[in-house]
Amino acid sequence: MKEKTHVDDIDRSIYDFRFEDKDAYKVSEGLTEDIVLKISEEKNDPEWMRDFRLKSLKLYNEIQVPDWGPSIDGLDMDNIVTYVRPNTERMHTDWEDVPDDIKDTFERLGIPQAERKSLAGVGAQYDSELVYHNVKDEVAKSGVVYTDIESALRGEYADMIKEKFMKIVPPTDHKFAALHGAVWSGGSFVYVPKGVHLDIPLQSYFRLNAKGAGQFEHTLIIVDEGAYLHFIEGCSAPKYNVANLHAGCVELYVGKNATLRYSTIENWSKNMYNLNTKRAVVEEGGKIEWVSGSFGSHVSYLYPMSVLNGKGARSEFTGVTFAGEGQDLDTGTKVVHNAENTSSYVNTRSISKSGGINTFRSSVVIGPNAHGSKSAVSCESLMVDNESRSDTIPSMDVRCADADVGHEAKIGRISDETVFYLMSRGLSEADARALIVRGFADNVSKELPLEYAVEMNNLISLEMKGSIG
Amino acid sequence: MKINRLPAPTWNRLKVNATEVNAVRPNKAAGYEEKLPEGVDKIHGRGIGPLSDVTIKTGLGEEFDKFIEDAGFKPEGYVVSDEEKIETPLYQTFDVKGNDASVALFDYSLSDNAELTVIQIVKDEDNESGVFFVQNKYRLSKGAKLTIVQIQTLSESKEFYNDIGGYVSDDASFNLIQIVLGAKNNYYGANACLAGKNSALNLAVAYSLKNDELLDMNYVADHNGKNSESDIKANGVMQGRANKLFRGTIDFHKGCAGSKGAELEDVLLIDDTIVNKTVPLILCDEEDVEGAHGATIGRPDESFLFYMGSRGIPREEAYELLKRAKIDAVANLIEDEKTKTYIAECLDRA
Amino acid sequence: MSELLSVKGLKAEIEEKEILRGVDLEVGDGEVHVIMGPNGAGKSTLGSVIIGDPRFEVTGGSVFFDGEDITGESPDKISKKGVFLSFQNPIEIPGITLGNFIKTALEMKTGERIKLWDFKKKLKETMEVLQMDPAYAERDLNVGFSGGEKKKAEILQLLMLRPKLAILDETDSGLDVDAVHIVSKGIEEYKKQVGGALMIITHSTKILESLKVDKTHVLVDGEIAVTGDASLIEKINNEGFEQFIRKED
Repeated sequence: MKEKTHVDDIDRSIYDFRFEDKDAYKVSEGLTEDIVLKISEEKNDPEWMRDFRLKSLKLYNEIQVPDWGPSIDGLDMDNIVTYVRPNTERMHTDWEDVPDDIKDTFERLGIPQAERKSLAGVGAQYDSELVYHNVKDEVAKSGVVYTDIESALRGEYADMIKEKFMKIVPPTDHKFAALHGAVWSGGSFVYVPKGVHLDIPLQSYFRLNAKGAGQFEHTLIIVDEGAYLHFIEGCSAPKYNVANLHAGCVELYVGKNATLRYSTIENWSKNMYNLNTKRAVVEEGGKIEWVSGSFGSHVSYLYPMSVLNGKGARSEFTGVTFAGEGQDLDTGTKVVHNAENTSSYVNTRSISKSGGINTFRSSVVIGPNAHGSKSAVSCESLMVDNESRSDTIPSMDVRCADADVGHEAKIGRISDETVFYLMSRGLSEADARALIVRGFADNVSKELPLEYAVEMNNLISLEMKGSIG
Repeated sequence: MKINRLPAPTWNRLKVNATEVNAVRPNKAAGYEEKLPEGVDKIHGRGIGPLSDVTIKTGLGEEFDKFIEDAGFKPEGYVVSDEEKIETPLYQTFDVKGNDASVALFDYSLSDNAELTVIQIVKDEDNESGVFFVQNKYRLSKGAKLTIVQIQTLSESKEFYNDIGGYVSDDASFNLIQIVLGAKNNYYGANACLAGKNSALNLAVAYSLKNDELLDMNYVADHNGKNSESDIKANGVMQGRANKLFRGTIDFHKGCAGSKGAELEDVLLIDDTIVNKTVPLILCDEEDVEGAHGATIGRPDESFLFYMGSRGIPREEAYELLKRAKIDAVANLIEDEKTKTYIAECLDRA
Repeated sequence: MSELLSVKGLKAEIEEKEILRGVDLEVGDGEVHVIMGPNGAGKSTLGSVIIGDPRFEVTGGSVFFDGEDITGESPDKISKKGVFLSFQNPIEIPGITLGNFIKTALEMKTGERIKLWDFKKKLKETMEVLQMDPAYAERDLNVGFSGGEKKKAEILQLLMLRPKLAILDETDSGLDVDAVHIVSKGIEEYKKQVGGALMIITHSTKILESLKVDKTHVLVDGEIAVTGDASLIEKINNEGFEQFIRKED
């Protein structure tokens, strides 16, 4: 009889530490107009923002939950705390000023170390508020703005934010966009001026520490004409036995001939409902590059969307999703081609293991004006064992004759021959399988900066490592 | 009613999860000419065979099935007994006349290792706005092989509902070849429950849509048996304001180890006023399977048109050649020479 | 009397890169012209532009054929007037058989339906001349054809379509001795049956052995550097193109 590899559950201990929530202020559970008004007051919103929140709350109450994706029955909004202010008076620009337990958290996650080594700037959010934000001097001198969105709302860029806030992702978009509009807090604002090419990345790290809480950060990035930015986003949380919710919103404006690379390594704990919305609008000759690794959360709905509005605008989406025990991850991408000669390229891999459920979902729309546009989608799924599930649900809508649309999907397992071959070269079965899965996910790992690629490979290896039994 | 439901729904705003139709209730049994080959027993009512009790799921779906049942028409049953391999096809020609909502229901029951080919030609000679419903259900015992060929050339005022569903036992195979050349609104659905080990579905559809024609499809291969295989191909050409929605699903259920499924779509788009939607799903609840789908959508590249042009073949004629090629590729799967000639004649006339 | 083909000051570019910088060339009825020149000189471009390849933009000059201005015309119209280009790398067209393709092209040329029987007979005879397996008529155009078979399929089209001017772009390149022999025979057959003019773009002389060459043109850097008679071919074979390449001052 053939021996089976037993694969243990992922070791999340490096992310799964937590501190007592000594938060200074938290609103009560559930969602009412009073709570929204309290958040607004606490955050000292301008008036338009307070009205925006109330309007969004109304929409939230009207819009139904999606009837097509993974179940979110386990998520009861009456039990989610929407706003938790960490116990620190204001945002800091020096780690020494950040309270010890919070600083300790980020140190364990390696954020200050990475900042010193290889980042142009870092933002760190703990529960509902940014606790640290800093950019290197030379970056700031080039005119790059990287700050928390609340300060930006009151500063020099207030009008720009008012003009762009939740315009790409309006609160009417879906129930959780409406929720975000009502209770958003924290997140980053980035502005890269015309022609500025940032060689090293900026990073935001989101940490949700409080039990039963929600995180609703808003990220707004504007990359002006001809500029270049690589933005990295990391997320994690300790595991609690009650549901946590992440309903962030990312809005990206990519200007004429500008390029934005947006990389995410998401490793939320397995009690997290990750209902995140990310969207980019790309102008003429511009390019959005999404690099996305999804490893955590209990349930995910995540489909970064590219709206190609200018001639020759491009989008690339490279993603890997790893669904293990107890995870139902519905991920993919959406692309809308709205102009001539636009192109999109999608390359995703998904891995299902130990009863995990993976769904790749996509939508490519080629509008009637998108003459000469091209789209190529390729998705591959790997079933590691026989308890898991993997679905592929793509959709294409083409309304222009001279478009070139290609789609490829494959589903399969690790071939016994390959495992045998590797074992014949001296690898253990577990190592052989881990190697194969890492290779399978290399579409993403080779797009990431080295440290992140290493981290991702470690995540995969941890997930795959087990005892042969 | 809602028909052609996608087995796993997606974003509602894409409007592909199901199609809402307002069909008139069938009021008449469709007349047809038939050539019944020797060895096939025809009975009024459902086909009688070893699998009579098996419930059949169809492509257009439950609501449609109920709608047809409620109209109170009885199917014609065709039974082929053990080891009978019927060489001559069963020909059925439907001349859809007038404004009626006519219906034809068939029930095929093939016993162990029996073989049958059914050729259904759906046409009309008038321009009346009639509706035609046809439903074919099949139950295939071990090693049986059923081939259904359907050629539809209705005029552009007709509405056509074409519903198929069946059950495939060990080593049995169901082959479906559909050529869609007419009608204003086309609703096509086919479901194959690949229940037995080594059961197989081979499905090929070719369509040419023009003006305001609509083709709404839903094909499902339900893999349950070990080593079952499915192959779904759709070839088409779209012109004018034609509207097409292709749903194709390979569903690997738990226990179908060793199964393989492949889907391939190839669409040639000629005008900018078309609406072309494609939703090819692979659902997988089993580790040891291989599933693949591919789609190529668009206009042939300029180098093709240039090469054609350099030989004196203008753009329109080059498209015509390609269109013909796409339909021929499917028509060539038909073994019956007479039917192939019939298709060629229909295409020449068009 | 006007020439069959008259190219005057022809300039063309692709993706904003100028390839032809003013080409002048006249080919009379039934004449055989040879175009030689170093790689990248624009030889293939010249053939492509004459037949109306949309990838190239004509930025100056004109092409007249049979007394008519065909500059910027679409390839099918130019083809119908009687120009044929044998492609250096013929494309593969899945789904359309070689036989059906030639039949359609012929019908387009004549504007009449061709009886299938007559066509098949003629096609078979012509394929025999080129020692082609008749089964190729039923195969998808160039799909899975070897290099030699692709070139034979081009010459087959030449013989079936009977143009007034045939431009052969490196028809002999990459072929073995036997294939070159067969292709040469096909070209000879075209001269014999149709008596049309030939513009032969080539590197080698093997294909020219059985033909009477009227003129030889050397194309360098997008311009005709020199025009001579058949003897120029031998000269180039011995001495190369160096002598024609302008020295940078």
